[in-house]
Amino acid sequence: MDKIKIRQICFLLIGMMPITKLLMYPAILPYYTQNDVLLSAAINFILQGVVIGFVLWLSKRTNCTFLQLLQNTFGNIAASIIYALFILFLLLSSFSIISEQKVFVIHTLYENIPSYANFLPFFIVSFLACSKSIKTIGRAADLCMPIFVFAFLAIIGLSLFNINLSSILPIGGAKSGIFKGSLMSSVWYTDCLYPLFFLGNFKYEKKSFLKVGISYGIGAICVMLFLAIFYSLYGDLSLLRQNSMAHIAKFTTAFTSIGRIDFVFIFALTLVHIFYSIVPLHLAVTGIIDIFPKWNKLLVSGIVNLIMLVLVWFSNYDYAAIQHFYNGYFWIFAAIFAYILPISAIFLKKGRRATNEKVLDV
Amino acid sequence: MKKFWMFSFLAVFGLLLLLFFTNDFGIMDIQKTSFIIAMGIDKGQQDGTIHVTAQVAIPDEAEGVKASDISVENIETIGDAIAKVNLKTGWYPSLVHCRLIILGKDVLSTNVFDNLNYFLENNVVEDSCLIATSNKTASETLKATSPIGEVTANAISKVLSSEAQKTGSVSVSTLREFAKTYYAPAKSGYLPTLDIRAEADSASGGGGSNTSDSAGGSSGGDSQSGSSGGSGGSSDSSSGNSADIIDASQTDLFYDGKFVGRMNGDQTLAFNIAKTKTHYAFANVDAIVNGEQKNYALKIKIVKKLMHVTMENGVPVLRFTIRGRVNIEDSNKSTNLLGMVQSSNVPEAVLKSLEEKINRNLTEIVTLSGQTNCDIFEVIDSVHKRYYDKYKAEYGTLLQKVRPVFDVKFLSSNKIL
Repeated sequence: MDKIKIRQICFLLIGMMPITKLLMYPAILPYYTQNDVLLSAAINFILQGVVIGFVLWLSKRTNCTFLQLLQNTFGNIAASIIYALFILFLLLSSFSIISEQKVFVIHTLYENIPSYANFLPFFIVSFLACSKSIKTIGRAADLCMPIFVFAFLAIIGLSLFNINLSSILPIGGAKSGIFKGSLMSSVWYTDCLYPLFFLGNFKYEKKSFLKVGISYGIGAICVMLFLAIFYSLYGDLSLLRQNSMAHIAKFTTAFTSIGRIDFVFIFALTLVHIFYSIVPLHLAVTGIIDIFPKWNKLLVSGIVNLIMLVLVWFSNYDYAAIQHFYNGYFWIFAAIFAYILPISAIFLKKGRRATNEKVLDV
Repeated sequence: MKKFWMFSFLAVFGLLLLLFFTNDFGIMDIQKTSFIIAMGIDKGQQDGTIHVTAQVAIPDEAEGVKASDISVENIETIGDAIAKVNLKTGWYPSLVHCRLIILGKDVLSTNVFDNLNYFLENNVVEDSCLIATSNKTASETLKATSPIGEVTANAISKVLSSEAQKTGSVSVSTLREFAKTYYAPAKSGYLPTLDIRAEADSASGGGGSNTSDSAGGSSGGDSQSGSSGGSGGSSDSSSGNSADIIDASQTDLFYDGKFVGRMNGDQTLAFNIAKTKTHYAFANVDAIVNGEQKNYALKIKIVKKLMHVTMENGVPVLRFTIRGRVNIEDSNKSTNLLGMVQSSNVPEAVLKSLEEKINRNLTEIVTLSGQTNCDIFEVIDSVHKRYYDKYKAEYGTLLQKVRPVFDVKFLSSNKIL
């Protein structure tokens, strides 16, 4: 218990959760919503917020992990199967996030197409992180939050000179497109599943609900601010400007003579993205160990990362097809595993409450 | 042993991190390569084809920057032109340093986005890449000779710089800005027009650093011209030893991607004062002061500019609010010493004349906008954003109905606003 502090969950929501929504998402969303990007994003954030709220409510009533709750209700074998499905979902969602990051790094940081080996370091870091305990995620959140806040404020600050926020008007013109946009965006809104996997690893404290709620709100505002500014900068051209994070702050004329100063902050945000991309992989590896406690975590981490590496290598030039699949069909999986089932978890048998556990230092 | 493995792991990780972030191993030797710094697009000799000219800068340790023009004629797409350059030279040109796109006078009657979309879709040039039209062909424009011996593309880029925009003499437009307004509901936009005139004499006898002798007319052929040193080089054959003046004070208007009209220098200045990022402007006005007609050169510091569209009885009302402080820079008649010292004390008649001039020019632009359907003041976009129902009902006639209202006031810089 208490392997992750509430503070670290808050930091994760402020300083890491927004990062995956700053690459392809701002460019793809207007395809469905036109200028109504904020309404569509708001729907997704509200839905995610509801799930996180339910999970927090659950954490107040039990100290069990998610797997223990499943075992209390369905027995060991059925619980393991359901849990394994969640793990598959985490791997499926992480594949999109990692592919997106790979495309971003290749297109933004390299002049020429890099070799296969250039993306290997990500999986080495991931391998190391996944082989550690869940405390690693909390520590990454501690590390990433200040980096994100500083870099994010910097790129937003640099972009403010060129925007016309009236571009997001008229509100509501896209009508059904707003909801279509929310559906196809589900690949970027699976963060609400993570607190479910943190269950039993953090202690519900007084005012945790408020703290987490405010943190989540700040994270959501960051994303929506970014979306508004990006659409204001490019209008309908947003569709053509993928890797949005690299395109938002490059027009600051004050820095024309010294070049793209914004890249300093883009590098910092890329670092945060690396750590956040590892989170679902970490949860998947930890989940496998939860099901099979006797397995070697180092080995499991190695195998999971190797599989992901091979998948990323094999899909080197297929990002468009991957994105097409995720935008078209992923919402079905997301609806079940990231929204319906996590909310349904409140009906699981709470079982025994673990008490008087020794608080671990984090 | 554990420490050894940990150290090895960290060392390998550090090495791979270098690969990941720096691309140091992929860096090109700048002295052994060349970059396209400008592209020109003209109409090809055959129907439906284009003629693409690329100005290539070649960094040279001894002579500074050299430049040459490569022309690809009678091709159908820009992408094809890039491939042709590769085919002929074995060098696949990167456009990442291309800072200027020039549209020749002949392509303006077709939708210019037929060609510009290549740059947008492929994201091969920066979104801040400057775009301009020319009163000549783009290939001729790129042969112009700078009076101070610069590569033509760089000389033109300076004329179109953000600093030029701030002084109101040029209405600068970038790829992003031009495309954004084209893909907005009004499908309009504006570009500065390059007027290349062989007016300045070069003291050094040909200051241009780039030369070109592209052989036009060869169907489907390519040509590549020579180059010269940083300060040498000869100019276009038509201009002999004289250098060229690059004037971008006029502005072309576009609707649906096609050229529809042109603003003159005064209109461009008024437009910049009212709408763009012009903070300081320079204007000339005639005024009668103390019974004597004088021409004044004024320096204007714009302290406030606001454009607001409202719908009143189905008519879009465009309100211009402009406030500025004025200094006298010069006049065509001599003044006494006290008058020279008190240049910040601008006579009321001069200020009135300036206000009238700005109002008159803005009215002319509004009329031109209605005639050409070019929504240069973004009236249609404003109505679309704020009066969506009225926009749907009256889209086709909005620009013709625009009623301008002016609240333009200039004060001497020695008075409080």
